[in-house]
Amino acid sequence: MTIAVREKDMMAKTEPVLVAEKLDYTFPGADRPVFGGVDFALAKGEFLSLVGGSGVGKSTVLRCAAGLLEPGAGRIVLQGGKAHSGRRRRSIVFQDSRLLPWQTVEANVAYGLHGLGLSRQEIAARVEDALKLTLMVDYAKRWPSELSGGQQQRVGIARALAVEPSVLLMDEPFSAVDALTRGRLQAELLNIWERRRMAVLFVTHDIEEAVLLSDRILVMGGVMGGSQPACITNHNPVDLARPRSRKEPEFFRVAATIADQLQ
Amino acid sequence: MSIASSIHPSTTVSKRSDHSIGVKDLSRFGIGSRRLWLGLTGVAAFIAIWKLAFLFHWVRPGTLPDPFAVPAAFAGEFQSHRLLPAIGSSLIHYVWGLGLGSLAGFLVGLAAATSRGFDDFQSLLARILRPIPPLAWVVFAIAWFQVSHAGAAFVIAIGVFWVNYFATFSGVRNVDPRHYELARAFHQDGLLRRIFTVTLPAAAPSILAGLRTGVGQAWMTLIAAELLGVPGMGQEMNAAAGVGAYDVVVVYMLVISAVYGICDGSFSIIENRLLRWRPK
Repeated sequence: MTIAVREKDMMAKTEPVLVAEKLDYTFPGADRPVFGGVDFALAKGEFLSLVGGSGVGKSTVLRCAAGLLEPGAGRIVLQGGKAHSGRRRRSIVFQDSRLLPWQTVEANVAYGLHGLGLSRQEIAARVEDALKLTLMVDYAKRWPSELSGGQQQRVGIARALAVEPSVLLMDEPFSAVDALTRGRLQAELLNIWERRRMAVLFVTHDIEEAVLLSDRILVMGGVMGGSQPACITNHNPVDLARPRSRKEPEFFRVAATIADQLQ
Repeated sequence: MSIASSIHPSTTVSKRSDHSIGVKDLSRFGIGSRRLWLGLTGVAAFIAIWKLAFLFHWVRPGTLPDPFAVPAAFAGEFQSHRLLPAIGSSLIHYVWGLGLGSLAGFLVGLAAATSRGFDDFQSLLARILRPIPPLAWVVFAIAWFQVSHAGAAFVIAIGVFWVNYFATFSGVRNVDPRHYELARAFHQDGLLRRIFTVTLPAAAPSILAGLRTGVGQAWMTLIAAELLGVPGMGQEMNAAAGVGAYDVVVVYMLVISAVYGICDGSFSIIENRLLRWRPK
């Protein structure tokens, strides 16, 4: 089954909240696009991962989806509008927590709430909810410099959740933390996703992480050994039951399939 | 160990190491007991060398006062009601010059750093004017403002303008672009919102360093401007030197040092308060 047919199937089953059509992006000064013809649809409530090797443009696709970069060709449709036009529609978690060091934890979490027409009480309630979800409510008055890397990333997730997005974009959010913290954060993210059921576009280079978390995994890679712009080469529904365990043979089989696709 | 103490190991350490209230109080100001004693020893050594120079006439007799005569000279100046008015007069043009020069330097530096067009417009002019020392403007200060507070404030303002201009310019230009991307990602990228939530806080360490440097620079320029006749401590020093009262000159020198110390210390407290988010 081709990628286009699978995408049509997915869109027919559920309402897409984010659609990328024929995306193409060229870095300033580069002589050819880093990727081209990237098509995918993210369904409402779906957890979709984008995996690929270094330099194929995964994070760039995500930045285009966030409206932070303008694609050279193609378009992003976010709930029927342009990527950067909606305030409440999408939120982002960066690879580095990217907290503002001069703001306390609670001020950082409230950062995206200003200008939404919320009262101070509503902002405070949303901040508290987001901090509770990420187990950081006891750290509300702390400065980011007083937190560990994992705690900072939790605050980054809380900031993204506070705006109550229907689409959450995550750019390798756990790649900078140790393995133990990463496992905890993955479990907490799944717990939050199951409670909130927002659509998630998750960029990672960690195949096991993608299999553990995702409903579907898109594999992104170069064509002709990297001499052509990268594109989405494979589309993998992950039909494993949740909660998943890395110890199950089926988990290994899916991860091995994706690893083969990345070769 | 609780989560809180695991995050703040310094809290636990300071409880163990603060063995006396005196040392704890001094350590709040960054002064350890060893550092304090060595510092006092250095001052005592300086006074001893000064006294020897006075006793053995290492400089032309009558041009170096006895260090132990300085307290009496201080009392004399205080009782003659010249000291406090001189300090007050100096502070008038100090505050105006420092305030206006800092504000102008900050605003022009901010505009140049945030607007490419304005930067192109002013950069050549800045290169031409920057090398001119503030005191070179005294001629025009006297021509335009006569010998007055305004003239002295003008010269001081020129000095602190450049310090603040460059500090603000470099601080704003060096803001991590990822902070701006964050503002854009969370729809906080309106001009004023971006300036107040990202640009100014991120550039604050550099801007405050410029302001603090200006606090010192303003004192140096102020005394030089007053030596030309503007009322204040510099003028009193000049008058005392004219009648050979070098002990009074030293009194004003020490008062300048004390007033500067108070200004710098106060600014340091404000700076630490504003930048309390920085990693310790």
